[in-house]
Amino acid sequence: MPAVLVRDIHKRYGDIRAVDGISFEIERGEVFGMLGPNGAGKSTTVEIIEGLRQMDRGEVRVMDLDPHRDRARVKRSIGIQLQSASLFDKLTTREHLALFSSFYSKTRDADELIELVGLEDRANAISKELSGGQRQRLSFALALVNDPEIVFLDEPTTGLDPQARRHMWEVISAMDKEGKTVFLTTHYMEEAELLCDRVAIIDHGKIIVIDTPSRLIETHFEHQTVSFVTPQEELGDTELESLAAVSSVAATDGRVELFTSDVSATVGALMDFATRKSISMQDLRIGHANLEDVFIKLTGRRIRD
Amino acid sequence: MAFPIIFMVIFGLLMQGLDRPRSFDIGLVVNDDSRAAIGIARALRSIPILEISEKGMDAEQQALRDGDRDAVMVIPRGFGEALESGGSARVRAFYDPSRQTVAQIVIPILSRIVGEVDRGISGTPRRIDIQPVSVAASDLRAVDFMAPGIVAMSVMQLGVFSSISLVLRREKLILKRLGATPIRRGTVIGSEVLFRLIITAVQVTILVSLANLVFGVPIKGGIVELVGILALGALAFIGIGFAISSLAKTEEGMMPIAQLVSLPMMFLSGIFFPIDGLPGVMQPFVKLLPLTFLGDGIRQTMVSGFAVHDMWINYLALGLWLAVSFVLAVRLFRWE
Repeated sequence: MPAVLVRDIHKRYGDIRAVDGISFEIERGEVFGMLGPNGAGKSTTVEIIEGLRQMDRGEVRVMDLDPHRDRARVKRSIGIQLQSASLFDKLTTREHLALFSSFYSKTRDADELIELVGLEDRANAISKELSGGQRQRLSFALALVNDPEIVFLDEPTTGLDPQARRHMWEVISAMDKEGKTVFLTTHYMEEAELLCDRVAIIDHGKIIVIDTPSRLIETHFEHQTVSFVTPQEELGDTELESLAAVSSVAATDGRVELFTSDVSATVGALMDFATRKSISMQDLRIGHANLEDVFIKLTGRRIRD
Repeated sequence: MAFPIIFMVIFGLLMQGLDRPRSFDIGLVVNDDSRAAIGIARALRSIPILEISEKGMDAEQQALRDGDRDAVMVIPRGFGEALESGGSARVRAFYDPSRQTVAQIVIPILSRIVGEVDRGISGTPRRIDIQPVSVAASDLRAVDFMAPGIVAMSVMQLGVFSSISLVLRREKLILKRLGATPIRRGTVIGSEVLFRLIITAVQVTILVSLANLVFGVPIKGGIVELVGILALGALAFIGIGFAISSLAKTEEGMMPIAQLVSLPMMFLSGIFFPIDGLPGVMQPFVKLLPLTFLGDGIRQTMVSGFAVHDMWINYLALGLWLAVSFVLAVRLFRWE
């Protein structure tokens, strides 16, 4: 029995198909990531699975239960972190944990949770006085208060500064080590790459591809990238694509990326091409492909446009 | 902009009610069979705006105390003799001092009518005096009328505006977060209601103590009855507040809705001035407002006067408002 089973779910808002036939399974103990740009349908999907939102059609099972019909039982066995850390302004960290503990029969020790999320020195501060990262960590601790089987994290690091984000990643990894099933949505590639066992890339309400991060990169890129910045706008993509060993070309924000199976051949050809066309190239880089490149290759655009 | 318009409409209606000729219920007791006495009685009966009732002294006095008469005019025995002997004679007009607006209109009307008759009979004016008598049985003062009204108003305000924190919590997605736990909506609403009820209890205790200890407003019906009507009213208004809370998406959106509900009631429910002053067509409507039942209930329980409804009707009506508003509040409740 998978921890989560989603079969062909659909959700429409007016004319917009927010979720347009999504299916996947999450195994127990797995950290599963849903990666996609804003508005791709990540939150809608996760909230349908959590039972917070109705779907138009499809099937959802959480621990083999219907999250709408068995609302109370499902909610007892899952932990939810919403996209925004919705906290009571005037309750302290400890009071929040006590309040949310009171909703469940099975609970985890508050001190242990405070330690897990690293809020020991803010245990008695009211939530209004917490920083954005601290609020997210408290919100994360609240998702764990009932020692859930499955934890849902909706963009747990959005809006955090890099340091707070790294801290959050450590906390999520710590929980992964406890063997929890985790479903997280994100639009940060590095986050998905670092934390997730498997990733579903989603765009326009549809899953484009599901696999482990490393296999995604391998499958789509036996390639590396050669990229450069240029002020010129019309370079002639078809000509670039016909350069030696180049498999595809993407241009975003003035940076042109060539995906290649042979870096040195491509670089040589590119130099000739640039001289011939008098193209000024700056900041020439050679890079390994990452999930972001997968996304760009599959959708033709950057994830954070 | 909504508020000036509401004020304009309400005061317009109120003033119109005061300006417009309305009929007055006058009790008439004639204990004298002289020509002058009969003349006065006939003159009174012929005035279209006076509804004359003649059921005898005791019945008319009781009707006045019950608020069913605007005044009772008594022509005493020996009235005719006094006039014929060339002296001055006196009629008495009993009125309820707690309804001063009415008394201020009725007494002058009566005294003019008597004056006309006086001139007709004797040729010499001012031989008949009209003596206004405030009904001794009802020794109610203005503060006795106002204090229960203020208590009723604060119960309404606390109730109708009580759901603002719920709206704020929904707006800040705290309710959504609670909805992600196994907690039931009834528990969430119940705890909010209990909290608001406690706040109302504290505030009302202070207000009633102030009225009772400082201004001497009695609690004739007893503390238990007073707590009963107040608790019922507080719950009914909290229910109304929660029922309308689902209409608003934001805290800013909730304010005008709550004001739209509470402001007109404040003026139309007779908590600060008797609803007799309102136009007749509005009477049946305003008598059904929850604040009318609560204000009337508190007033009857505290000072046992100025009755609009029978007390059991107040309990029943507030109970109905409570039931309907809570069913709506739970049905319309949204986590998000």
